[in-house]
Amino acid sequence: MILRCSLSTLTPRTRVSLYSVLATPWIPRTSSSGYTLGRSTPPALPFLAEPDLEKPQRSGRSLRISGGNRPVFLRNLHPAFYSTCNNLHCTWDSFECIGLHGQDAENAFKVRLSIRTALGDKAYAWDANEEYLFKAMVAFSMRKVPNRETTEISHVLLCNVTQRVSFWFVVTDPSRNHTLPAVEVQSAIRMNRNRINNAFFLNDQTLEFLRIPSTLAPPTDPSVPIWIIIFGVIFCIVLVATMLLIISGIRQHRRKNKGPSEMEDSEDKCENVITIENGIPCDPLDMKGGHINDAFVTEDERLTPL
Amino acid sequence: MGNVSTVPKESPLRRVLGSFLVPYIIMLVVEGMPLLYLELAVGQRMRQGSIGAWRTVSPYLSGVGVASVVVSFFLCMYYNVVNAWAFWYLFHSFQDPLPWSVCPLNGNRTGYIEECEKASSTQYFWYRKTLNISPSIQESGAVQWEPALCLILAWLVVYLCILRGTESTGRVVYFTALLPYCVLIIYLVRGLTLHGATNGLAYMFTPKMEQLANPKAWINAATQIFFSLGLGFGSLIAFASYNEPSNNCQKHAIIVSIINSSTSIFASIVTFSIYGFKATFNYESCLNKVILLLTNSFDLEDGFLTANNLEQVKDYLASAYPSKYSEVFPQIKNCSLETELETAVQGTGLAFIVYTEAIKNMEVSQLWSVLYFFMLLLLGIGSMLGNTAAILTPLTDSKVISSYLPKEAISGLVCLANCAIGMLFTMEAGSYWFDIFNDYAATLSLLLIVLAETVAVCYLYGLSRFESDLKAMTGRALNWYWKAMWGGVSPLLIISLFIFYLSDYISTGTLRYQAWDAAQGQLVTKDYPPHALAVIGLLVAASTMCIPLGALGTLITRRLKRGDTAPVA
Repeated sequence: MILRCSLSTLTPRTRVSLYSVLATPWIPRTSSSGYTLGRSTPPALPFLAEPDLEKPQRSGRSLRISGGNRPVFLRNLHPAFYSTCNNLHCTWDSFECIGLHGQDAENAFKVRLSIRTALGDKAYAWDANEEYLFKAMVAFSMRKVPNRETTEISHVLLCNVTQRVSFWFVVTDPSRNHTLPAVEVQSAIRMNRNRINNAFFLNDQTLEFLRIPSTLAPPTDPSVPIWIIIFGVIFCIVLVATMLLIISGIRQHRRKNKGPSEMEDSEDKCENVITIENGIPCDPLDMKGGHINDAFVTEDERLTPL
Repeated sequence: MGNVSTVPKESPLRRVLGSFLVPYIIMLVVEGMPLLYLELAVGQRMRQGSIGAWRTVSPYLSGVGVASVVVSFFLCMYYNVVNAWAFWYLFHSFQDPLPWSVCPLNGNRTGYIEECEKASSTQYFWYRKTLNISPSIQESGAVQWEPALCLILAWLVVYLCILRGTESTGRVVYFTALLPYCVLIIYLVRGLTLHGATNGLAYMFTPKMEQLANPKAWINAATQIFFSLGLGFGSLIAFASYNEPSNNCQKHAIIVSIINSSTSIFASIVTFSIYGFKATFNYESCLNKVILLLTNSFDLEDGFLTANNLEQVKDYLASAYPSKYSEVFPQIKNCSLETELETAVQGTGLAFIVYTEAIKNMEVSQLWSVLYFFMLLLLGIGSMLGNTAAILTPLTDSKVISSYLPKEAISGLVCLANCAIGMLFTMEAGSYWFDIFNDYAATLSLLLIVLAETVAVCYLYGLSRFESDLKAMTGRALNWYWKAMWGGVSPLLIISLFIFYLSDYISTGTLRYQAWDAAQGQLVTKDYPPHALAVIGLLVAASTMCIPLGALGTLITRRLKRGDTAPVA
């Protein structure tokens, strides 16, 4: 694991004491995963011999907290802790930063990147340059906050970088004595989340800022739900088809009803035709109704012929 | 063949996992084919709907026909709600992304709605957006207008198809019976090419010998045959009554049952390949979640943990960092492909959830969704046509009603009445009532009806008399196989099924149902309240009591007539 701490937070006094101790060389060693490990043997400081991840240890004037639950930062250090640092980096195998608790620890955020998950074969290695870019993006986001336009890259501190690629960061004010409040950093990052994601070719799920919730994309709701449109179309089609069938059914009924009555009319016509066409005019009794009183029978007809 | 092929097909919703092929085929040959042939023959011979047909067989059996009509009426009431849901899903399939594939955002847009997080997005869409389900059956809630609209549309479509009577229904059924085959073939090709489909198929075809010994497998196979062939509903008799008397119904019975079963097996191949895909997908995402959890907790390198080395790394972590591992351990789920495959599929709700979950993970999911729900609709409408025909044929046969009202008006009134009652199932607690109807309205009653039918034809009417009738009608002699089945095997089988169901109901004590708990995001088991139990009893009694009541009624009228005629004689 590589630890990179920015030393620019040091006050001039501690920096002087640091340089005075910068004597011990350190030998970089490449691990199997391709990261550069640096392990250096400090001058016989027993409490620095083995980083114990499980138990919190007391060392000097500050408390070293394990497990990465809360970050700690370089401040008011025992000079020996700097024995392995050069100008820009502190490299120490599984070394955690040591520093303040309380408010400053509250203002720090953990970041987690899943580069290989997001990019697969095109994954880039996480090195110092990427961290520089990250600090630049964070500084850029802070500059957009009113009253914080003077944030520099050097004000952003990264710490406790792991193989996962996860690390803690905190933003200090120009005096480098205080850390900026978490709320400000949170709102700044949220505003510019998209830019930060795009700088690294990642998205909200692969570049996670723990404790900074991302604003999810609003759903694109059309004014009329789509399903109602389709429902309306199909409903109208079915309704029209039903109406057509019913109307044609009624027409068929009417035709059937008219059919027998039309047949009767034509029979009457035939009878009329027959009576006219026939040589013998046999008028139906109806025609003569009122003309001949059938009750009256003529004499000839009463008497049957012999 | 056209009218007879309108076997109301139960869509592949009631699938039974495990080795059901062997009991299925045996039950088909022993129970399905003989009973189907019997119903077709009765319908063709008597040339009337179910009420008239059974009255002709024996006047004491008019109750059987009435019971069939009552069961069909119950089925009509609740089954169209499935079509309404299918319409709902179909209309929602034209969106990108599919609405059941993503969870909706919560109020301040920082995360997803809690109920959706706890359950899955497909479950949330089903229980909340489609049903808007209430926590228990007592809280009825209001009628939901969206499913109500879809129900009205579903009934309109059914009315459109049955408007002109069974002759026109025959033409519609060509469409509704053949098109699902096309969709099934498309799905077969797509399903077999899905990643993980082979897991599901292997699961389906590996025979589990111990399951064969379990009587549940045989019971389920027998029930499945019953419902997929549509025995006892009266629709078969209704359709067969429109056949020519010289029609060879024996050949049709065999062909129809073979086609039906091969369709079932074909559909289950498709189903199991999709299950395999879904199970594999869920298994892999479960593994990925565990990998992510471990990677984040121990800050391991991204991409280091894979499915292959997961176990070894877990052991290493447990030994190297024991306290931290024990903190993380409760959250680590045990992912297993077997448990994913064994998630039993029961009930229409679960089937909607399972299929939509599989579809949302396919590419071009809108197309597959539209195809699937279109097929479901075709099958559902086809089933509805059979059910409504079973009700309408006796109504139009009776001289009383058909003299007053034309065919269209009778169909319209029936559809309107069923639609109004169906609104009950669109209320918030409607899904629970639907499950009641689905489980209890048909099962016991159908068994009893078919038993009464078989016994009546064989022993009341006389097997030899029926045989000579058939010979006179079709010109072919009756094979000894049918006689043996009708006379002995099938009634015994049905009686044993009946006894099994009764003992099952009695042994489980109070009846229970699955209610959706929104707070937990999962189903919980609850007891039915007394009024629901009363409705269940009413459902079963309404149809089964018709048979003895019909016999009793005929007995009384005959006694009265004999009393009337006695003094004259």
